[in-house]
Amino acid sequence: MNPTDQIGAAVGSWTDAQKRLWEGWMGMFNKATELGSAGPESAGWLRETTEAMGKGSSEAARDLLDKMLSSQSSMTQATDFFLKAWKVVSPSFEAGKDWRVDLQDFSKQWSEQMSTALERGSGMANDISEFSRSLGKDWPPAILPWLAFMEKAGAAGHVGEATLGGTANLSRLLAMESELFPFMSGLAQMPRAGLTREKNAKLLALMDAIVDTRRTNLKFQTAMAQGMAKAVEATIDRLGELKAKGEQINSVRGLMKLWFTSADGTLMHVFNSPEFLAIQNEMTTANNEYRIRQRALLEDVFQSLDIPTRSEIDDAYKIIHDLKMEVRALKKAINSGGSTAAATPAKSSARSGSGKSKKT
Amino acid sequence: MSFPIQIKASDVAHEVNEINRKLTEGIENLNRLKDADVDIGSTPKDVIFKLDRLQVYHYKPLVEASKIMKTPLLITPPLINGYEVADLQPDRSLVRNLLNEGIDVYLINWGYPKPADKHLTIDDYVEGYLDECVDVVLDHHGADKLTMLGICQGGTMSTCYSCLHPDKIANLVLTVSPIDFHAYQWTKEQPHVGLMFNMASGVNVDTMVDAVGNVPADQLNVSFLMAAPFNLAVGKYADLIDSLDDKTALLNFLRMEKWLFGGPAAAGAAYRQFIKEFLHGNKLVRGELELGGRKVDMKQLKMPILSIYAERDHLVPPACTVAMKNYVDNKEYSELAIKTGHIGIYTGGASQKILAPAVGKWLREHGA
Repeated sequence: MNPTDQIGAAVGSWTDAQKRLWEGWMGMFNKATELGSAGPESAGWLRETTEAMGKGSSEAARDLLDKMLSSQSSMTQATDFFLKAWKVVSPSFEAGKDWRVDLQDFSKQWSEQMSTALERGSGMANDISEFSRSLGKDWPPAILPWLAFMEKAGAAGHVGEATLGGTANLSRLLAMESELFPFMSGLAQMPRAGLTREKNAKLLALMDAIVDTRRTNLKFQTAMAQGMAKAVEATIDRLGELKAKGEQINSVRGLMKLWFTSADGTLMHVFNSPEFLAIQNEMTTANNEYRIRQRALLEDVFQSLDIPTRSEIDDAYKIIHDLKMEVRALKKAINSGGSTAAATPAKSSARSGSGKSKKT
Repeated sequence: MSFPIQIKASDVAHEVNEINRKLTEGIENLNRLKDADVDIGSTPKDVIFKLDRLQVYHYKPLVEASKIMKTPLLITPPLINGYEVADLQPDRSLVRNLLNEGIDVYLINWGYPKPADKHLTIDDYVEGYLDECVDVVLDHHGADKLTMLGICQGGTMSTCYSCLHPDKIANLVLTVSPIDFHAYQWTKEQPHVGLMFNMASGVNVDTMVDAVGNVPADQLNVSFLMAAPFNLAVGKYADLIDSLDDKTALLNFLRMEKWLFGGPAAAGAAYRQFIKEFLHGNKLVRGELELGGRKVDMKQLKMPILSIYAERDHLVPPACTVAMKNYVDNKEYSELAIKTGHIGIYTGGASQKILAPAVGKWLREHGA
């Protein structure tokens, strides 16, 4: 058996055995949970394990079990990726030829496949209907009606025109949605230079944010893919070093350890490079912008339903916070016999502590 | 030269069987554990003060009264980690070791900020809460001054407090505390050094706090995991299979996990301020920081200062800690290096015999 087949078969049978094991256990956990008892067929360990997953045992222990179960799955996935790369390079590696060319081809192909899949999954398409349908999963349910009428408006003309309140379609659709959603009634009659445009501007801003989120996530995933390719290269380099020393790896866990350690050594450089951090920060900011803009639009809906919004609650929190600190400052001033005028917080929120207010 | 991977199918079968055996035994061990077994922060103590989310603990002495130092010591943990790092378990406890040194130990547990606490600023923490805690400890102990021991970010806040209230601080002990946030240079050779600083350097903290309010602990934990994603997120749990049948090792592991993933969220406004004014602006050492409307002047630090750092600290590079000496006009400033990492300085086995004894010796030398 050649080395590639040998390692493939060994890891394959290990992975299969583990997969069966974990699936079997998880299945049994689920079954036992559904039944409420382990049942007559259960072995002692299953009963005990099920109990460990229940209320009586340590939460930390349950978390740990969960992490171990998921780590097994992650190990399998990560190793699977490594093995695919290994299969590509091992003939050259074994023949003492330059395997980096093979790996570069593999990495390039893999990155392209991943990018295409991500683009497809992100709905990066020109067609407004397809785009808006794909957006559905990112929108809060309360604003789906807005998305629906925008899609219809866009179908008859340019989406930008529709969302800026400049089409007859939009008026018609607003009127239609008003019948379905009474709280929206009257929106269609509002002057387009006023509230309608403001609302549509928020809608557009949210759409921008979604596009930014997807674009930056794609960029991030691509950078991750490139990092993983470098990690594979480092691992194969390490194997080359072992080969040169005449050392061997004799266990699957040993191979995985080599892969994890080599990968981490590489990813540590990738993840901390200025280029990667810039991409990560761009993605984080885009995700946060998305949350902010989503909330802005939702707050309009909430206000129309007379439901308190996050902004209003935040204002209340701020007032309570400032008052609390001010009271403490006053108490402190009184306790120290000073002027209460001097106790007013100097700048923004309260800066001074109070007296010994609440000893226990 | 032979092929470096030599794994036989029969060995794989044996390996799988062995893992399954360890897992079965280990899960029995896990099953026997209760929440109370995974206890952290367990050194006996009294709660002497409560305010909003915070509590001040006073630890019960472990030496006879005549051996207890007259100056109390207040531990100030960071806002973004649980205080239990100072008292993880009986044989890995800074608190317990300090008590054994004859130090009267108090500690602030900042608690877990709720959404209503999102407007708390560093001003509120330092000039509000911390000042109240100091007054409470001084009153409780019957002292005019205390020793303040800061942990990581808690040391940064302790430094600010000591600048503003030098009359209440007899000694200042800093442990792995960033003071000069720009003192290290990122290098390609050691990219993980200054990991958190590096990651936060370009972050848009305004957008982040506006979006999430309080910054969740998980968000911060992910940053820690990025140092070694495979080993920290996957490998260490896979390796644990080998220790599952060792109850002591398992409990040690679980306690660390409980502390690591059970930390508090960071109050939004305080997080924003810390990132912008300390990390981005480096205002503390530039003399540009104001808290409570007062300038934080490091020249006010005339009390004895002991700065302790970890030589292998990749979260707070030692350079950021020891740079303090460049900004204080203080002949009683001293440093201590310990060969460990950022967390290991509190929880590592070797550090248990170094950190607290060194603090105890230093305090005795300074009349505490």
